Amino acid sequence: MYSLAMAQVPEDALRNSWYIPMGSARSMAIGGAMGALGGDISANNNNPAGLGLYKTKEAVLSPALQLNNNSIHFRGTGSRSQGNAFSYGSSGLVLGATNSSRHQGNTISNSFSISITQLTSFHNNTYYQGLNNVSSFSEQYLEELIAAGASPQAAEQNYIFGSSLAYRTYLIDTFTINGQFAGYKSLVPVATGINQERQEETRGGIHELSFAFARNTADRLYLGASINIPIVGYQSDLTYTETDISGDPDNNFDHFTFSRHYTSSGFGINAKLGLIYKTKSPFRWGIALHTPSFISFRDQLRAAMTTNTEGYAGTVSESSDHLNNGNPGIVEYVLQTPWKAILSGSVVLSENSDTKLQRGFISADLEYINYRSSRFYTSGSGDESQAAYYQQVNSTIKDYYKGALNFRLGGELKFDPWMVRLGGAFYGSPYADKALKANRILASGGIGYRHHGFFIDLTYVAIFHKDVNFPYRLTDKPNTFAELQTNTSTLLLTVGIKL
Amino acid sequence: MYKNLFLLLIAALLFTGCSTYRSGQTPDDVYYSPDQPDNNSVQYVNTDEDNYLRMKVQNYTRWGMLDDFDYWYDSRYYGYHFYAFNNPYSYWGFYPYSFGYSSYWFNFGFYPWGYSPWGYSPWGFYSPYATIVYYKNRNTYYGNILNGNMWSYQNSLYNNTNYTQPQNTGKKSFGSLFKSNFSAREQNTNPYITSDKRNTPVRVFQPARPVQPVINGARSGGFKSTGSNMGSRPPKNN
Repeated sequence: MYSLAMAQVPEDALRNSWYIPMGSARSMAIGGAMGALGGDISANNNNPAGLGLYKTKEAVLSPALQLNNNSIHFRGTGSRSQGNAFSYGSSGLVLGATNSSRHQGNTISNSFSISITQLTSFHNNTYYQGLNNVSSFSEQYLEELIAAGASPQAAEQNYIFGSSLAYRTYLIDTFTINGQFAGYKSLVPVATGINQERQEETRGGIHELSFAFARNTADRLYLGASINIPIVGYQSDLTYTETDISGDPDNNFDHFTFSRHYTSSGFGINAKLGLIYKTKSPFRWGIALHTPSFISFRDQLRAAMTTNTEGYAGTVSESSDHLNNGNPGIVEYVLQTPWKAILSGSVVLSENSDTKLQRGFISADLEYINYRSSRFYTSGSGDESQAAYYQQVNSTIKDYYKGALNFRLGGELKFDPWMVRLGGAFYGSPYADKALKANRILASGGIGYRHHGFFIDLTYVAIFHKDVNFPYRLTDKPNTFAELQTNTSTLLLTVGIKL
Repeated sequence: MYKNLFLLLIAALLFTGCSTYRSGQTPDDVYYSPDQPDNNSVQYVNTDEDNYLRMKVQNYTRWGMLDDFDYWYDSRYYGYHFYAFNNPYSYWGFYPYSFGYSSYWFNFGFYPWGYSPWGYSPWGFYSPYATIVYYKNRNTYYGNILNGNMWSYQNSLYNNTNYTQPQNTGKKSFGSLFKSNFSAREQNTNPYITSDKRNTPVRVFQPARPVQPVINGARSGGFKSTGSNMGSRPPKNN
C-alpha cells in the first residue's frame, strides 16, 4: 500500500480487488471452495450455477465479528496495533422450485436469489515507526515540483493537498545557487537521521447486492448468472510524522506532521456466470467467470500540515481547507476491477435424500485473477488532464501488478444433524516485483446444525495477510517500505430457515 | 447499527419464521434438494379451469356463450407480453410455478403495489377469481500533471536498512539507481540531487528546463488543485 496526499493510485485499484471475499459461515468454513458444490447462498458471489441445486426456499442471515492484529516491521523496528469491527457475510433469500412440467423427461428446476454480502471490511488501525537516514517523506514534494518545473509561486498555490502545504509551512523551500533560483530543498536533516511514524485508521468495506438466477436440467447440468451491485465505502484518516533525532535545536528542523482525511465511495455493476456439471460418480465440476466491476467513485480529500523548523521559520501550519475555502478536494471517476475465472471440483459422498445417509464432501477451487487489468477512467466531469493522469496510472498498473492464482480447499463431515468443517485458501501476490512479498492465507473451521427446518453454522476464520506499505515513493532514491503481517480473526454465524 | 439490525432480523427469523420442515428431516441442498413444486397454486388454478371447461362440456349452449378470450388472454397478462413472460418454456419466464411466485404468499411478480380494487387479493393475480383490470400504459419494466509520481512505481530499488556511513553508501547506491531508472527519461525530467551545507535533500532543475509560471491549477495525484489565492506563506526568520 502507498498513501500520501495522492489518490487514484494503483493501490486504490488493488484495495478494491485483492481480498478474500466473505460468504456464508458454511462456505467460509470450507475455505470458500464453493465453486462446484452449490446449494449455498454464497454461490451468488462465487459460481451462481450453485443456486441451481436449490429446489427449496430459505432465508439466511450471517453476522460476523472481526478482529485485526497487525504486526508491522519498518526499518528494523516492530510495531503492533489492533482494529476490530462488526461485519456480515452472505445474507438473503433463495427461492428454488421444481417445474411441474418436464422437458424431454428431465427434471427442470429454477432458482432465484437476492442477497447482500460484505465481501471485505476495511476496518483496521495500523501503526509503525522507524529510524531513517536515507530518505524523507518531504522529498516526494521536491520531486513533484521539479518534475512540474514549478515556480515558487506555483509551489505555493497549485498543489494544495501536498507540495503547497509543505512549501507554505517551510518543510520545503526554494534552493538557490549563486543567488539564482535553482530548485527546491527539504529542511529535513536526513543524513543525521529522523524518526518516521505513520498511523492510519481505515473504515468501510465492499458490499455486494446480488440478484442471481440458476436453472437445473436433469439434476446434472446447472447454469447460473448473477447481476451484482458492488457498493464501496472507504475512509482513511492518516497521520504521518517525521522527527529530528539529532537533538540539535539549531539545525532548522524539529518535526512535521502531515494529516489526511480521505473518503471514497462508489457503486457499480458486475456479472457472474457459471456452470456446474454433475457426473454420475460423486464428482461435480464447475466453471465460473466474473466480469470486471465498473464502479463509479466519488473521492474527497482534506489535508493539513504542521512544521516546526526551529529558527528557520518556527512552527507553521497550513491546511487544504484554508486554501480551498473550506472545501475538500473532490474527484469523480470510474474504476474497472479485474476479471476472474474459477475452475472447481468437488466430491460429494452420498447424495441421498435421507439426510441421515449424507456423509460429507470435499471441494476445491482454482481461481485466476488478473490484477493488471484494473483501469481508471474519467467520469462525465473529468477533463483532459485527469484522463492523461489516469493513462499514466493505468500504464503503471499494468507494469506493477500481475495475474495471480488463488486456491481454495475445504471439506465437511456430516453426522446428521451435526456437521464439522475445515478449510484453507491461498491467495497469491498481486505484485509483479518479487521483492515485494505478499500473500493471503486463510485457515478456517466450523460446525453446523440443521434440524427442525432451520440451520445454524458457526465458523472461525483466520486470515494471515502479508503485504507491504510504502509511506511515500521516490523516483530517484531507493524506496523504503514496511512489512505488514495482519492476522484477521473472524467469527461468522449463519442462521437460516427453510421456508 | 449493523449489529442491532442483524440481531433483530435473526430473532425475527427464528421466532416468526414458518418452516414447512419443523417436523421431519430438514433438506440440505448441498447434498440433495427435494422436489418442491408449487402444488397449492397448481391445484387451485387447475381446478377452476377444469370446472369452467367441465361446465362448457356439460352444457355448451348455456356456458359457451361466455367468451373466454379475456380469461385466457387476460389483458393484464397480455399487456405484459404474456407469451414472453408466462411461457413455461421460456428460460427467463416469470412462470408462476417456476419461482414459487405463488399467488398465495409471495406475489411480487408484476404488481408489487397491487392494482386489484381489493388491494392484495388473497387469491393472487393469477387466480381467475381476481378482478381483471386493464391498466393501459402502466408497464412495469424489468425488464500535469504528473509529475514524476507514477515513475516512482518503476523504481524497484529498495532500502529498508539505515546507512552506517550514509554519505558514502548513499552516493554509491544512488548512482546505480539513477543510471538504471532514468536513462529512458533523461530528456524529460532528471532533477539533479545534491546537498546543501546542512546535508538536507535538494532537487535542482535541469539547467535548460523552463520553470512553470503560476498556472491556474495542477494535480496532486487524481485531485486537481484549482490554484489557491489565499495569500502567501508567512515570512521565514532568516
